[in-house]
Order: sequence, then structure tokens, then C-alpha cells
Amino acid sequence: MNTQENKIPVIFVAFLEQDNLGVGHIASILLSHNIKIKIVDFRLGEEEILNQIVLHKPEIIGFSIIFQYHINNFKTLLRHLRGNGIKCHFNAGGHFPSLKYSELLDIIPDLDSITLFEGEHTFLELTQFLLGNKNWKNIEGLAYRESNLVKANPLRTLEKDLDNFPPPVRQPLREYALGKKYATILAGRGCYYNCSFCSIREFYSKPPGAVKRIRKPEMVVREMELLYQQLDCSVFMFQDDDFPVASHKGKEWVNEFSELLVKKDLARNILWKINCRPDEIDKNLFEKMKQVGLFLVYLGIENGTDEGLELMNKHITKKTNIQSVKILNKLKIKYDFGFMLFHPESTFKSVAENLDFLISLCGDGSSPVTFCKMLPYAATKIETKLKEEGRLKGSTGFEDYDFYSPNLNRYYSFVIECFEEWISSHSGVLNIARWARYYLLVRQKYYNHQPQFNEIDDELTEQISSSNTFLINTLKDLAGGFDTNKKNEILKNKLETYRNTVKTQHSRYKENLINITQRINAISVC
Amino acid sequence: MGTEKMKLPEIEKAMFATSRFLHKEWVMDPPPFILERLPDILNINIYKVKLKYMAQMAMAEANMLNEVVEIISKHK
Repeated sequence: MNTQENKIPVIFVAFLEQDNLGVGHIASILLSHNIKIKIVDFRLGEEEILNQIVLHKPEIIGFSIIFQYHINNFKTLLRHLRGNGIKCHFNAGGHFPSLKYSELLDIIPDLDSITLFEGEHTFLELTQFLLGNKNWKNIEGLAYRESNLVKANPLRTLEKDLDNFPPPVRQPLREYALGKKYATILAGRGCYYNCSFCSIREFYSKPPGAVKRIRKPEMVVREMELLYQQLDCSVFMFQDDDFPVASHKGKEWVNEFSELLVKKDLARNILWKINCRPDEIDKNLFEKMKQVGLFLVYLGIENGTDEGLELMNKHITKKTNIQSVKILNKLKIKYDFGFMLFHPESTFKSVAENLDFLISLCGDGSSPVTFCKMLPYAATKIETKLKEEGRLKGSTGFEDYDFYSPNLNRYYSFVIECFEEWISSHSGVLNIARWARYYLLVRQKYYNHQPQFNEIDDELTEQISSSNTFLINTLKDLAGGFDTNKKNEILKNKLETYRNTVKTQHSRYKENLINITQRINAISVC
Repeated sequence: MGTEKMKLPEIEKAMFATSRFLHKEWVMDPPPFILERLPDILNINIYKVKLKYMAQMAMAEANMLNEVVEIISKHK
């Protein structure tokens, strides 16, 4: 074995279920400076990761901690590596490491340093210093421990022009649906808004620089063009927290972007999806975007009451939420959404109002229903508020809270027990229903129209409507039972009935949705 | 950088260490929120079990590919 050939100075350990654009961008800038890299999937396990490191003998390993719930897993991994004699530099990056660097250095003492916030320039400089055997401890944007003291160097100014970064390294493109490949991509970074549950604004406002930076439309389109031409990419998933539908320049950016997609002859060949706010949905603009390939919008609906939306600092009303979906439905643009049915100020009354809202939003089957609990992510306003109120519980990185009402806590626990698979499993109704729609959309775009399309679309919508209604009505019934004010206590054996009913219905809806998906796949291509 | 200078990074074979088996699950975008947290120790133990079996699948895949290559090369 030629050890020199196997030598790779930089290894990243990253969660790769979806593309990891953060690591991809940093890796790309290293490659552009002729530094070899390798990206190892975190899910391969301790032994295989160790094997990779022993084989390639890196000088530095970058650990991408994109989910704060992974911190203990990374702690175990790093301990395993150190315990097996790996002595090279360990660096971590991500939202939680940047916002809670001191806590992370305590939790994972095997770390040598943390890259704070945007990593491209900092990690490059750290790598160059390590490869040159130079003292790295004064590098801007780094935090580290020295003699039991945590030190954080001055933060590096954010790169002003994101188009100075080369396109990210991506894994070989995978199939989205029906043979069509997809890639994730960014039109910009950051968000102008300051929702109380979200750490993005914190992440981009702490370092010097603009809280939101948008790439030039021609550069985004050029990247899409290269991916299409060279890697046969047909589906583009924009990962921007808030796609630049409405920037300080109004709709100019999107108009220019759309025109370029036509000019480059991409519009008729691709599909693309964005995340955006409900108050950014404009009928004329989205109609134009649909004509150039927009097929799916992820909406930050989040709540169905004005009080809840105010708690979340969304600067949006319930009316706007409904209106946004009406526009998308009229334009026949599919949408998915996020929804925090449960939050720190939840009561049975607010839950009931939100469930009524959900019926009006998606009872028609326009989107599979979803819900979750607002979680106090690191450095968010809600985390700070709960901490000040003495309501935060759990260890660092795993913080949670109880509702004011003990019955609501019991209700929530039972609801989770019943619907966890439905909502959060890859094989749950929510995911299967979403994917059935995506398959149909891809089929409709790329293959000649078949008479069955409309029939299947109607059937799919009906199944989603039925499953949505079942879920929402079950939650309503349960709420009625757990809320002692209604003097309608549910006995233990009734809870068991609910469990079984949900399980049975979940299986039934799953089977129906999978059948529909198989029928979509089976429609012969002309 | 202008559009004419933009290039996609060249992906060499050794750039990624991953397994197709890990991608059998449908991709869900964005990832689902975790609705309930188990105690930390349970989360860690569950994840270790998952990673252990995923690693075994990765090794099995590698062995499978080696044997297939061997069959083909013997034929040639």
C-alpha cells in the first residue's frame, strides 16, 4: 500500500443524508487551494470512520455538527478516535458549535478548536497553518480551550460576495424520483427576519457583515446550468431559509433569475423548489416562477392563531397564512409547510384553534398535515425566555420545557405516542404522502400526459384529505378528553382504543398511498 | 468571479466515504422535527445500534462489490 498516495490532509465527518452544503463549500475552497479532502459519512459508524482516518492520516478533521441532538454521538465518536491513538487536530463547526462554543468544548473535551460561524475562510486558514506547522491560535473566527480557559478569537467578517466562493463539493447526484437526479443549492445565506424559535438570524448577525447576502442571479443560474449539463441534474432544491422572493430590491432578483432560466433554456427542462414565508407569495410573481420550473414551495406557516404568530415574532397574520395557500392552490403549485401546534404558551384553547386552522388550511388534501412542538434551539429568543422564566429543563443541547397545564403535558405525550411514526418516520404517512406528490409532479413534467394523471391526482388528494381529517379530528377528540374543564375524562381503555385506531388507520393510509405511488411509477412512458 | 470562470469541483472517487445502503430511505426535505426526546442515554444507545448495523451493511456492500469485480476479471 502506497501510504503517500493514501495521504489526505483534511477529512470531514458529516451527516450526509441530504447534501451537506456547509461542508461542501468549505471542501470546495480547500480543493481550489490544492488541498486534498475526503468527506466521510457520520452514519458509517465509529469503526469505519476510524479506518478512514488510519488509512488517510489527515492533519485535521472537521466535524460538521448540524443537529445539536448529535452532540453526544460526536462526543462518543471523538473519544473513540482519541482512544485509538488519533492525535491530529479536531475541529467542529455548525450552528450549535458557533452559538454555544464554550458549552461544546466542555461537552466534547477531545475537540481542539471550533470554527465560529461561516467556515470557509477560517477553516482554510486553520488548515494552511496546520500544514505549515504554524501557530494557529490567533486565527480569526476560532474558539479553543487553553489551560482550562475557553478563548474565542475575534469573529471573522462574513464574506461580502458569496459568489467569490466556488460551487460546493457535492456527492454524486442521487435520484429524486423516476430517474431524475436532484441537487441542493443556495441562492443566498441568512434571513432578514427574527423569528423567536429560529437560530438563523443569531447565526448570521453575530459576526460582522450583512444578516442576509444574496448571490447574483446569473451566478445561481450558471451553477444550475453546469449541474444540468455536466451532472444531468433535473431537480433543484433551494436550501435557503428564505429564498430571495422579496429582497430589498423587491422582486427584481426573482424576475431576473426567471428570465435567465428561460434564456439558458433551462426552464422547460428543470424543476425547482424553494422555502419562503407566506407573506412573500404573490400571485403574478409565482405564476411566472411556475412557468420557469417552480414546482414546490415549503411555507413557514408555523401557527394558525394571531397570538401564536406574535409569540413567534413572525410578523404575519393567520389571514396571510390562509391567503398564501389559496394563491398557491389556485396556481396549482404544491406546498409543504411547517407547523408548531405546541409552543410554550399553548393551552387547550390554542390547540383547538390551531386544529380548526389546520382543517381550513389542508383539510382539502392540498398538503399532508404536519405538526410539531416548538423546541428551544440554542441561542434563540425562546430559549432565552424559557431560561429566564426558569422553565428550561434537560441537558445542554437537549433542552425542553413543560406546558403550564399538566393535562396538556399528558395530552402531548399521548399524541406523540400515537402519531410519532405518522409524522417523523421516513415510512410514515407524512413522508410517503409528500413523496407520492413529488413522484406525480416529476411524471407530469417529464413524460407525456396520460389520462390517468388526473385520476391519480384526484385520488391522491382524496387520500391526503382523508388522512389529514382523521389526524386532526383525532387530536381534537383527544384534546376534549384531556382537558378537564370539559368534564369528559377519557378512561384508560379508551386511550388504548385510540392507540389501536391510529395504528390501524396509519397502516391503511400508508398502504393506499404506496399503491398510488406504485401506480404512478407503473404508468408507461411514451 | 464571473459566470464564465465558474467550474464545478472535480469529484474524484476517493472524495466520499459513504454507502448506497444509507440512502435507501426516502429523502425528506426538510428533516422531520423530533417530536419527543428520549433520555440521552437511550438516544446514544439507539444510535450506536443503528450505526453498528449500518457499518455492517457498508462492509457487506464492499465485500459484495469485490467479489463481483473478481468474477468479471476472471472472465476476462
